[in-house]
Formats: sequence, C-alpha cells, structure tokens
Amino acid sequence: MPTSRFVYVIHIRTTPEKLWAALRLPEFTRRYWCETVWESDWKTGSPWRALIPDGRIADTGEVKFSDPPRKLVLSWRNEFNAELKAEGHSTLAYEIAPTEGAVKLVVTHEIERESSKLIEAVSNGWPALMSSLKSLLETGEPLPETAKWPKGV
Amino acid sequence: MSDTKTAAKNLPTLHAEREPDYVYVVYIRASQAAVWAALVDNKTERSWWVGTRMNSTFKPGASIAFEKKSGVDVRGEILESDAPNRLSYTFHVEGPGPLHDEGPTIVDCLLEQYEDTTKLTVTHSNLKKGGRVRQAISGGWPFVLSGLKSYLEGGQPLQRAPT
Repeated sequence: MPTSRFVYVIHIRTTPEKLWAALRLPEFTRRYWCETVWESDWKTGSPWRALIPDGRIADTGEVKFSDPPRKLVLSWRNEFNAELKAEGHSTLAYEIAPTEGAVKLVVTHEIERESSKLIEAVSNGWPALMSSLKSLLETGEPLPETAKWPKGV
Repeated sequence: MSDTKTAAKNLPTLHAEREPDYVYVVYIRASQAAVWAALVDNKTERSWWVGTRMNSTFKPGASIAFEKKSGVDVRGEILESDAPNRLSYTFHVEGPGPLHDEGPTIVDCLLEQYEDTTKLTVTHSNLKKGGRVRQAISGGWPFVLSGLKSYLEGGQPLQRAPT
C-alpha cells in the first residue's frame, strides 16, 4: 500500500506521566493546542474528538491502542476541511520513552495514500505544536503561535 | 547571495542516488539573533550538543571541526554564512569507518523570526542511498535541537544523549 508518513521526534524535560496527560487533557491542550479541547475516555476501542473553541469539531477517530504512559494509537480524520476529510482516516501514534532526566516523544502520522494533503498539512502543524508543548512543560508557557485558534480557519 | 556570504564552489560532489533529505523544524522562544549566536558559538563546549566545541570562524570557505573530549567526530567546510538568516556547511563524519566512506553531506540551517519566536529549519542533504548516515543523524538532530531549545528558553540543557 502506498503510504504518506510524517515522523517528528522531540525530547522534553518532563516525566512520561506528565507528557501522557499533556497530550490529551484540556487543561494542557487549551494552552498549547490552539485552544482545542479533546474528549474521550482514552480506552482502546473508544471514540475521541477534538473541539474548536467556536464549537466546531476539528478531528475525530477511535482509540486503537492505549498503553499509558508509553503508547497511544488513534485513528484520525479531519472534520473541518472538506478536502482533508475526504481522505478518510489516518493513523496517529505517540510513543513515549524515558531518557536520563527527560522523555523522548515520537509522533508518527500516516495514511495509506500517496501525496496526502492531510499529511502535508500536519507536517507543518506538528513541529509548532510539539515545540509549544515542550515550552509549556519546561517553562510553564506555550509558544504564542499555537496559543490561540488561528483566525479565519 | 553575495560572494562574501557563500562559497558555493566548494559544494561536494552529489551522490547520483540519494536518500530523501532529512528535515527537522523546531520553534524556539528566542530572538533570531540569539539562535544565530548559539549556532556560531565557537568558544564554549556546548552543553546542548553533548559537550561539542565548534572549531570554526564560521566564515564562508572556513573549515569546521566538531571537537569533543574524545576527539573530532565531524569535519566540514562553511558553504554559506548569512547572519542571522542562514548557515550551511559540509558535514563529513571523521574516519575511518563506513559513515566516513559515504563522503561529505550538507547541513543547511534556516532561521526565520515570527514575533518572539524563531523557526529553525535544519535540512541535511546529500545522504547516500542505502547508507547509514541518514539513520545516524535522524537520531542526533532531534536531541541536539531539543537541547538548543531548552537551553535558549530556560538556560538549562537536556541531560545527555539518548541511547
């Protein structure tokens, strides 16, 4: 199967448990992920969705695998952009591994199609979002670029 | 690009068959000038780069050596130095060994400032098809650049290289 894939690796001075929380819980995502709120019980087989501040749904999917605080795999479909939604479900995996005094996070986002517009879009988004998450966990403040939902999107 | 900023004549021979370029993007809450200063620092053993001191004037055509306590592990030559926007250099793993035999690769650092944040894009190219350098640098850049971000934002580097 042809696949489009984006991989991002970042090292963060935190604990696996805190990173596991920050990737899902609204008190974190509101601050570094453009004011979005994520909803799910995060158990394998459960649905999840991410909400935009104006009430629209950003993305939805299902929890494919959950092994706190090491690995979370989600199916993921964009909901607010017709072209991206038409590509259907992608797969997102977070893998968390402790290192000396820090944590290594590997984000892998892929879809079974060539030249995916979704993967092209998230390739720009992940570095900014994960940089902001790292700033939030290490300094207490996210980056201004991802603190607010972008105007007009 | 003016002649005083570039030394493009020194570009290494490109491999006929190459792996995809390795690209890493990180956003740092620091001025572009501060990120540039960290990249061209040639005095300190960089806590965020596993104790490496960069021996170079960072002028186009100058040599660069990555000096660690255990010795030099990479050598190269400055291709472009356009403060505070772009730094590129050749990157040749010190020999002997299979990584050295893959020849010089190319590192390009692009800095762009957005208000209080600097976007740093590192592109590592001329990676030989089927070679081992791409895998080696794919582990190294996220750690070094995560460490640079921690260093510039909080004054503390990450602890040490991952295994």
